[in-house]
Amino acid sequence: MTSFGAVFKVMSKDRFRTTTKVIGAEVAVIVVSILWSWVTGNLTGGAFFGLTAVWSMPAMLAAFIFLAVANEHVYTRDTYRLIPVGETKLYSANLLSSCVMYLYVGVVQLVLYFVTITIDSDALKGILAGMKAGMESPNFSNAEAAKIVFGLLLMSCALILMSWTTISLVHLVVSSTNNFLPNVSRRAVNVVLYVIVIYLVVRVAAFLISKFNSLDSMMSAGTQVQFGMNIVGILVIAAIEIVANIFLLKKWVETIPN
Amino acid sequence: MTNVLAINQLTYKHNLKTILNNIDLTLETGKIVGLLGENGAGKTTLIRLITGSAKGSGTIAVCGDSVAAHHKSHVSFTEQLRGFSSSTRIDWIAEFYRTVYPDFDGKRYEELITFLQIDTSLKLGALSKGMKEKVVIALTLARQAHLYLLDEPFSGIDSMSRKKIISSIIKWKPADATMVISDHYVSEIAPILDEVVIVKDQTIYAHKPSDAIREEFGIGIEAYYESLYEGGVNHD
Amino acid sequence: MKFDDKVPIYYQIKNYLYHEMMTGALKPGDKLPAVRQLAVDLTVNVNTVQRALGEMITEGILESQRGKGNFVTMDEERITQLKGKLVMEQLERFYEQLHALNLTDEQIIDSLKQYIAQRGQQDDQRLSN
Repeated sequence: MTSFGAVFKVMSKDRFRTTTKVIGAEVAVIVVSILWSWVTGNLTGGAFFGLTAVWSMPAMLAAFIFLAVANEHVYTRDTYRLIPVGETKLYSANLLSSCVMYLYVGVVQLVLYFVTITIDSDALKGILAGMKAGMESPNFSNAEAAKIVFGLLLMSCALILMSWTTISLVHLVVSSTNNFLPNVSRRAVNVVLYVIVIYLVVRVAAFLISKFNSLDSMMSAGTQVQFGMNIVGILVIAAIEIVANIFLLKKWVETIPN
Repeated sequence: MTNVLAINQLTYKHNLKTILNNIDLTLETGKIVGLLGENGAGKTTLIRLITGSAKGSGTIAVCGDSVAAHHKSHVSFTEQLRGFSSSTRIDWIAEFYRTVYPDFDGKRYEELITFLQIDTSLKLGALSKGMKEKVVIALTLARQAHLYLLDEPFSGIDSMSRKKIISSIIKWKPADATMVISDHYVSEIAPILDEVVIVKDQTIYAHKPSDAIREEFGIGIEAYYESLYEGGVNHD
Repeated sequence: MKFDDKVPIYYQIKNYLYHEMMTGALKPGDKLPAVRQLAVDLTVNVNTVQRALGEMITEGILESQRGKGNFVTMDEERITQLKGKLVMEQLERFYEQLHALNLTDEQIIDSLKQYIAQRGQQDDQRLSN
């Protein structure tokens, strides 16, 4: 039997390559944007950090999608499914590998922010002061600001995890039903599933928007608890989906024939 | 002799259509077995059921172990490297195999690569069909498995590559391992087969030693195989 | 080597090795290649080679020496016997085929004599050209 570490290693090596390409592209785009601003004479104070922050979002999204694709490939390719490990190990190595690689992308973003903030420090001070003055009621202490950032990070991690497990669940259910349903009912199942997924995506998006809108009130003790509960809720859903996914892998999910 | 494979009452349905119906099959250790049948007869499905890539009902025991997850460490299958992108180098794939399969023998792999004249710096997407099949064979045979499953290793391959692959099978198959080679075109591999298994009408239609076919019916393996489709030979 | 798919492969391997011995490619006392090497050379299965060699060892044509390999017997008489046996086998086939063409024994002998004479002339001509 192959060790968890070996499976994790081969999966991560591949994903490291992919995510590094995404980061490379991101940095290239940022550099080009900065050069362009400089050439056109629009290089204002804070542009380094501003452009990095702008391009960081699509880069994170691209990394998320690429990692989701890598995740799903594992379930239906003999290359991975024939590795002598149990489905539970295979599944956990797969998910963990994507999480670690996403963390890697995230840390690189923080480094980019840090570097560009240092470059732009003078200009940013002014902007930050203006923002603070613009906000009406709460005057955040540094500790509270850190708390908010930490809470949001935790929430993002939980949401990303749940997104991946949900994508897997849909994929694996479709793959399982494809094996034993005739073509007509197969299409019906697929339609129903897509409707459910779209509904879920809309719900999560709405939830996120409401969360960000109520950032101000996040400091009250009651909302903090509620926020924490939300994170736990998301993690519980993800855990249930993980169990369901492993069960589907064991019982029904076949690989794509050669 | 011990059995490397014992299949009992195996049934497989796909989209409510029966592909294999109530199959029994036992293979002994140390044999080269031809798995013959028309395209779509269920040869690939049978192989996929043995590896656990497809899920049917019934029992399949490999080396006496009927837990599907355990088969994977006994079985080496000619997987078509679908999990790798076309920009992956062969070196990288070999490293993947080395990491993931405890029975991957680096020395055997080097010998096979040299014998089959494979340039390992090439990328997967740059390989011709024959070259890719050689890579797949090298990776499959480099493992020290008990059961090798070669799914149509000769389809669409030039005769020089075919000869090389056949030679490497003879050279590198461990004496105590059994090898199943599926093909719908028999004549090229007939001399190396100990036994033939013919899949037809959703079942194992015949399972005989090849020299017994030659002695019993006085015809070649290919003629025998074709006669089954014409109903020419009476057999029990 | 090209095999006739209609005839058991082990039998053809034996015939091939007999032939090598008759032509002198394998001399009495010579060591045979290793089983796997022989299988690779002939493009056949190792098990089939083993079966062929096993039968030849039983016949006394080959001698197996533990740990050293298989050797052609030094017993000249055995080889002479084998040659006799092979000649008889060829004659048997030849005789049956001509018999099937409704030739009597005398006619067969006459045809054979005639053929040999003709063949001798042809070969002489070819040599003088």
